[in-house]
Amino acid sequence: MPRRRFFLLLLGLCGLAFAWTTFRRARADALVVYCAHDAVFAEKILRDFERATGVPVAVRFDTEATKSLGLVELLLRETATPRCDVFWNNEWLGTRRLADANLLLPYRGPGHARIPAEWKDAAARWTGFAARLRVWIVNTRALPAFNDAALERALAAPNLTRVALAKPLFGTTFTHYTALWDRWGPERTRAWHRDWRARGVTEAAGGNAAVKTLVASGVCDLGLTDTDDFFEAQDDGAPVAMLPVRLADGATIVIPNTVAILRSTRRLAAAQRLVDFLLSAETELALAKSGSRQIPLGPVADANALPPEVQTLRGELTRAYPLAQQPDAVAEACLTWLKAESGLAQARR
Amino acid sequence: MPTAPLPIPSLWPTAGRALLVALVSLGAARCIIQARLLEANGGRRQVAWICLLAPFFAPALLVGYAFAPLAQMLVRAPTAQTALYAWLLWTRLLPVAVIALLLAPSALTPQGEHCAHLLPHRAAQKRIVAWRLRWRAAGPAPFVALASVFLLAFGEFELASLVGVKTWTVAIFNAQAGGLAPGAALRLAAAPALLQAAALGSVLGLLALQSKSNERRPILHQAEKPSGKKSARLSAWLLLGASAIIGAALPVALLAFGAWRGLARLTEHPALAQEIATSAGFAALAACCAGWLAAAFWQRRARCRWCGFVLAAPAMGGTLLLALGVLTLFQATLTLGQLYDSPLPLLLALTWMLLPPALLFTALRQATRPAEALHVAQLAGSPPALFWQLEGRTRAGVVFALFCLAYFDLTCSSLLAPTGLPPVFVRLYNLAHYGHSAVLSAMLLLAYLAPGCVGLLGAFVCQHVALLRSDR
Repeated sequence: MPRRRFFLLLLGLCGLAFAWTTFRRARADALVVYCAHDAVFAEKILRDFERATGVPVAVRFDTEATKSLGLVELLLRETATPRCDVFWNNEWLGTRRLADANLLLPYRGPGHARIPAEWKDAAARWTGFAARLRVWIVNTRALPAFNDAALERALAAPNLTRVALAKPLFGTTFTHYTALWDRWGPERTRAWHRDWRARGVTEAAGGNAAVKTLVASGVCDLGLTDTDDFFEAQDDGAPVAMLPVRLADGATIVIPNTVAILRSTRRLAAAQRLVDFLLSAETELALAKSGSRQIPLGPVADANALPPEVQTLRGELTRAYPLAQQPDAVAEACLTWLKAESGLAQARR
Repeated sequence: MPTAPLPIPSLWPTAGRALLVALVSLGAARCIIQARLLEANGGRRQVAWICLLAPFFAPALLVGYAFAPLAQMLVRAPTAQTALYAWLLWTRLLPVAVIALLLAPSALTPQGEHCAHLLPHRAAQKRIVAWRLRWRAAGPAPFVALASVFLLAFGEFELASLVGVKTWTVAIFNAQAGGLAPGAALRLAAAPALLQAAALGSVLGLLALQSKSNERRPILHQAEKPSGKKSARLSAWLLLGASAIIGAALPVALLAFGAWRGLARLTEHPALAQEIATSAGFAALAACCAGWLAAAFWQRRARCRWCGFVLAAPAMGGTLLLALGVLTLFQATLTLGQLYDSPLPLLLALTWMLLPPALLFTALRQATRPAEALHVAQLAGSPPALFWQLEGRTRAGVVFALFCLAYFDLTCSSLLAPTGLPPVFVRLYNLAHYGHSAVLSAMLLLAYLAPGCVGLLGAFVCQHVALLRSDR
């Protein structure tokens, strides 16, 4: 009996050692990508890259509810034990925080060159691509004739329980708040936020996707979300319509994906290949044709190849709020306030 | 740096809810035990045990995904949403209350307990005597059951996050995702941890006091037939049925209904098989480690058992705190930092998470072990097939139960899984936030059924190996 146990133990240890070595070897070759873009769409692009280049990719996705912020914080926390090579963020603010923390490596490749200057970092530490728009999603059964006047009426109601938005601490809702903070100033933004809460606005715990579901299912009449979530609801046959969110001067909020190489990368050549792949016209076209209908920021050879709704949305790029020119202090102050509002102010680092 | 525990949102509502769930679970558990359904002979006993345990083994993701549309409909009625969450929590924790009541030691001998139950309680004087005897017979069991359910309900995270209910665990997870370092998140959890420590300390203290006077409650013997009044038996069956239907059958049925249309599209997700294998690998290793540790603690002296309980205690505080603790250990320590992005942190957390149930299952196994039959079989030099029948399959069952618990874990996996080795439920959790779809339902169903296939295959292999060895 003891001999049998000894052999079983030995067998187990050998198995573990084998699994460990296989894991280490696989990881040594793979390009580690942290991706905040929706897994359902990003996975296909990354597998295409693997097939095209033969470079294996190990991806870490974030949850929908804590989109992008979770990965940005993880990257900031991992500076002592870095493991990420390329960061594909689904927004821009977090990437800029990483650039400010000097964690990003400048790279001016062919992909970077094809993206217009207003969508990329002057020092080439990050580059934007494939954007989406911040929009109002509306249930057409509840609000059949939806336009700016109807929106104004709906938002003036004393009860906003049928209006939904995601937690502003995360994702593109946070970007939206920073744009308001920049345009309105802190006082008006705070007053607006508190007024909405006082009138019972519904805060969806699951991010923009949850807002989309609430409106599509008729639980809420309208909500703030992104174009990719709206198109998902539309493709599912839900009775929904959309209206771009406009700031006081008529500017729209366009939020690009961003890609950056981490300074700590040990696979620089592979990382550069992935960045060029993501910033290529082909990838932007593929993302435009995908269910998320991302808007290409760079030139596309055949604009007619784009889906009609993307062609329409592309017109909004010229009216976009200049996110890249937003002062650093805006996002920082807004985040500090939102953390305080969420009741966790005292626990800040 | 703060020195005093920080105020944390939703702490007291979570505690109140957990206490309510614990009290209701205790009442329901007493009703089920008094009807003696779990001790009856034959098929009814098995059905009762299956009904009781099924919700405990239904993954939180599955239940959350199935009930998410209903929870979303209730988003503007937070009380109703919280009631739904509390009900789901009750179905999952009822088995814990029942098992704690069954296993906690009694201060009376079995004969004394029997006398206590026989005493009439109509006359006022006799009622007091009977009540005092019953109180003594019950021993610490109700407190142990209450505290155990409270602990698990209070530290619950996965279901709350999926159903959209605000709890302190969700607040800490969000704070951590929002930039709070794991160490700071743990400091933030100081107040809830103190509450948990008090509950856990009272359980361990009561058990320690009682274990001196008696070894264990000699129940789980097979009775001829269920005893008690017919109405009591009916109530017990209703409770078990409601728990099994809401906590397991309905989520599986809803999932299966939506999944059949998505089965054909599963080929578009080739990574799913790899992720299931990853989860199964981690779960199998953790189950073996935890099972081995529990057996090692249990088979030695009483002091060793207490070491086991103390070691398992941090895991009773919930998977979120455990995962954050392990994360801090590997992120903040220079030596362990080298192993940060390896499978070791997740394996450690899963093993630790499994230690309390492993000790519980080992205790259950020991309580029901046919010692005399095994001794006779050993003396008679019986074939391995008989040992498999008498003991082996129960032991395999324990390992399989632990395997399922680790396989269905979400919290530890989402915080500690190494890059490139994503466990299947982490990915499905991310996808679940996009709402219901046929493909996702099919993926969830496949991931849910996978351990069942592994279990059936394992049982088949073990049984045939035992039979083959017997033939020789």
